[in-house]
Amino acid sequence: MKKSKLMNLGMISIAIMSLMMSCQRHPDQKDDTTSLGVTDTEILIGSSCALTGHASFLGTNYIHGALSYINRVNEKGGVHGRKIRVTVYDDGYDPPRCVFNTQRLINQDKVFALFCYVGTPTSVEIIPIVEESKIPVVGLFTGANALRNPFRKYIFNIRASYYQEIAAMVKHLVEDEGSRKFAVFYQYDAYGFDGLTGAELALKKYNLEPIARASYMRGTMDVEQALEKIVASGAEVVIMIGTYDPCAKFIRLARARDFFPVFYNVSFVGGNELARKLGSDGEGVIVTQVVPSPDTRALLPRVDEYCRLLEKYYPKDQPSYVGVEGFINARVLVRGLELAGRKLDRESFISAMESMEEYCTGIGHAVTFGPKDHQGLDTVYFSQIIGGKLVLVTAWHFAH
Amino acid sequence: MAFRALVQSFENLTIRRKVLYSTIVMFVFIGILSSIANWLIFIPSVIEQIQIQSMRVAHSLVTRCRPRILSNNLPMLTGILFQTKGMETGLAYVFVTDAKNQILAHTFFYSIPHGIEKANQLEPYEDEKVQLITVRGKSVYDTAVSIKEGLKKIGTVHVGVEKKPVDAITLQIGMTLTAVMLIIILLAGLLSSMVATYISKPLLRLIQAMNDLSAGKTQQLPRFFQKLRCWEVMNCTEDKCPVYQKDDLFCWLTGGILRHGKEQKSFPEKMEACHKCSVYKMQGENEIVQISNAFINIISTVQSAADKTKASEEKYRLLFNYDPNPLFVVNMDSGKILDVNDLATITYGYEREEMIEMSFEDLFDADEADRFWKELHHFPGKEYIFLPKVWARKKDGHHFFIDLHARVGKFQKIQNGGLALSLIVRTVDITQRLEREAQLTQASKMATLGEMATGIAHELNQPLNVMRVGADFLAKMIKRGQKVSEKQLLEVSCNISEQVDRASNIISHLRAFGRKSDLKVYPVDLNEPIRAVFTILGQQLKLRDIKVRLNLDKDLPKILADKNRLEQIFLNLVTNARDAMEAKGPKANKEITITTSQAGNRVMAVVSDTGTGMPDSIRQKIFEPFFTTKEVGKGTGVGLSITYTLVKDFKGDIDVESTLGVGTTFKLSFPVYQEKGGPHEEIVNH
Repeated sequence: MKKSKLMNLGMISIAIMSLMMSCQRHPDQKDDTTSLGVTDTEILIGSSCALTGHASFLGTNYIHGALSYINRVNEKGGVHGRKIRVTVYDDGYDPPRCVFNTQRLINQDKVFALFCYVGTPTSVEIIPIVEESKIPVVGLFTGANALRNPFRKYIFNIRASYYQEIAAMVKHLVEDEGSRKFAVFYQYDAYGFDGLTGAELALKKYNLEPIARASYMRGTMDVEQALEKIVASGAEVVIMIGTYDPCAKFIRLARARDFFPVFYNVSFVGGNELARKLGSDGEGVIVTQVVPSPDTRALLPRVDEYCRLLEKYYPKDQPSYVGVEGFINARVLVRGLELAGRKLDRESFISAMESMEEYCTGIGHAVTFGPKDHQGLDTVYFSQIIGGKLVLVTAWHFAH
Repeated sequence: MAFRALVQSFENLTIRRKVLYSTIVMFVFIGILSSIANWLIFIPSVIEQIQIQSMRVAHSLVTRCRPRILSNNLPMLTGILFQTKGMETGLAYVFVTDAKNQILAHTFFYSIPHGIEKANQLEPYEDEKVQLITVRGKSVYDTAVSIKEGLKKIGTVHVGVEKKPVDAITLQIGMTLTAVMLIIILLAGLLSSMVATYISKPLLRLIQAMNDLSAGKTQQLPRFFQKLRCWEVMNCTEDKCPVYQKDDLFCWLTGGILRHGKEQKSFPEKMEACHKCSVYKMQGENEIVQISNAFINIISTVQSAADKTKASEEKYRLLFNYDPNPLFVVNMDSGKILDVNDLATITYGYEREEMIEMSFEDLFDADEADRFWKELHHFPGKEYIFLPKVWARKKDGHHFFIDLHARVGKFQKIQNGGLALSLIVRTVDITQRLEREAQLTQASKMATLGEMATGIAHELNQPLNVMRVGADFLAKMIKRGQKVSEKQLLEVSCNISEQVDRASNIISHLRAFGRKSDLKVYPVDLNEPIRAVFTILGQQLKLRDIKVRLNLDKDLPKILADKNRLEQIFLNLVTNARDAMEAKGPKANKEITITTSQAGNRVMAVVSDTGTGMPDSIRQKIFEPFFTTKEVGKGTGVGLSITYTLVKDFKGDIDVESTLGVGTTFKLSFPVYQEKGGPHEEIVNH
């Protein structure tokens, strides 16, 4: 009896050992690319954004806002004796081009870090690239969920997510305004899907769901079919996940059809441009924002700084929400570089970024990162087109 | 040879081990086989699958890249490549070359591995190829597929899959399989162990029970399964079922069983019927249970038989051991003592172990032992031997008398592989009896002496009287002054001498009687002691008016006896007759008749009287010692019993007939003495 018990024990241990061995994973390999993009005098930063095409407003204003600040920093001697040199490529809001540009920035330009990416479909494409090449990205003009979940070690988001934007809006509309019939008009791509999901999640909280869903193709203005569908549904609110041109067209056509729901856009639409395009048709259209209005320069010193610097470096540009965001982006980037110190490499930069706590960007809200928190801001602002201009909402009123 | 030894040792294992080892060996074998199969078949197919997948990816890329190559849209191309790489897991790289084998787009970072576009170059006639190449120190399967516009080659798609992960996968598969196999073996081992235990446990219990039985330990029979109360199920009654209310037995295993109208006797098709019985079905199908129950049946049968035997043995052992006489079992051939009882050891003073070593004749002096054996062998067919008054010897040398009874036993004891007939011997210590007999004899002697004294007194009186007369005559003559003549003197003195002789005769007769009798017997004429009696009693009888008639055969053959004792016999008989006739009264006719004759090879003597006779009830008891009809003080009651004993001593017979009021007749017979071949001379002690 004893002998066979011993045998059994032996067999069990062998089995366990084999199981453990079979579950073995290979250890990660070390990289020596961490100190790329840094010279004695320069820090190379790369960006690929929509400088041309139907989202050009976004990319242009975004990068100009950022560059305004960076130019100022360089003027003052840079960070720890190094100037920041930014290389920007235009991807026209086209994912393949974005990928191509990013590869170029990494392989040929050998940049230290990336920043100021615009758009969901584009940014989402570079996630695997960024992770493979282990290059930090700071600030993207998109609230895409994919950039935030799962946690991405190399990506730092500053703006609040679309989910946060839409949730705030839906909350107000359902709780304060009593709206119940929501429709969603979205761009037929990753951005639009993300927004749609956000809307559904937000509505689910109130046991609601969209009564109509309709889409248009990115890069086109073919919004008619979607309009039909949504008009037919008789929605009270139309949540719009799109860019300024197709959204403007949709709203105008809707008004022409005597369809007057509440039109609500997320920040990516480019509120200022939307307001400009719509004119009087845009009365009452709501846009959620993730940064304060440029009009608050009186209140917020940094916004004021943005306006001044923009004036200085890009006198042709008008201050915009997008620009404010770019500006803040750059401020966070520089802060991170500062915190990393003179001995700069990607890993130490990431650590420095993660150590950023309650960094006052001067917009009334602090940016906090942590080892598991790469979401900087969480604030959602409401803006509305009133009198052809996009203004911060202080009191709600709807155009009829 | 080693193989045979192995097989042998396997045979000797317990069921449990056998099952366990066989199962383990079988599963190990299966495990090895499946591992081999895995390595030979499965894993290569996995690799093949991965390669097929790469090929598929490459082909789909070709379709998508073609337009971009044609339009030289490098960004789009790059986008497609990255998209593909992002979607397909496990790709190390993807790159596209143009017709001249220059890289157009790729998914490398920081640097393109040197010469990678040439590593797996397609020949002009080749459309696709897979090759194992080395990229940055790692082994990679490069799948190359040409991109064609019509027949013209415009570029090549290369898809790279690292070999290491593939290897890792295969290794992992292998390891997992091995681990699974080991676990299965373990489980199989455990399971088979359990099964084997389930099988062997009842068998082991059975073996234990049977061993206990052999060792003689009666014990609770193991219960294997809860037995059904079949008599309740089948509504049986006690008289019809031998296992009624017996939990340990099963009706299908026992002989007599009622079956719906059949008599209570076994019938050949019984088991057929039993198989259909619901009780049997409930209990009987399981082989382990069946074999267990069958054995339990045997065990309980054997046990009860053993118990009975034991009880019986106990009883007879008791009888043997506690018999109030020493008992021996003696081997007839060797004469050795096989067994003794308690009293034998106590009486003879040996330990039981000692006695069993001894020969039976060791308990006697040499000549007595001879006597025993001669008696035994003289009558070979005889089953029962009786030796009275044997002189036995105790351990301490002390002798004593026994009566020896022996019987040939059918008792068969196996000794040294053979069978032996035994003798069952009982020795009865007759010391007390002999003492009593001696007392009797003494008493009788006393009685006889008493009688004889009276007789002798009477007898002596006569010669004395005669002598007196002579003396008185002489005295008277002298007193008268008369002269006594010589002739008268001579007459008187001769008379006196004569009477003295006569008196001496009587006295010497008495002396002879009083002398301790000799041990020996010798040929005697029966008539002589008879006549001698009347020399003592003759006068007395005359005085009492008792007529004596003697019809003694002159040619009477001799018998083997002793004169004195014969005298004693007839003395006793005659005195009894005298007393019986006296009791009749003075006017009665008193007559004693003694007749001797020969009848065949017997010498007969008949003593008859005309006394009071006796009723049957008294006649039956006449020879009992101390039985007397006379008043207290008058008779001792020993006479006839002594007479009886004496007659028997001489191998004679004595019989009595009597008619109340008429008379009594004693008939004696003795065997004729033969010179040769006759009865042996015996030495009989008194």
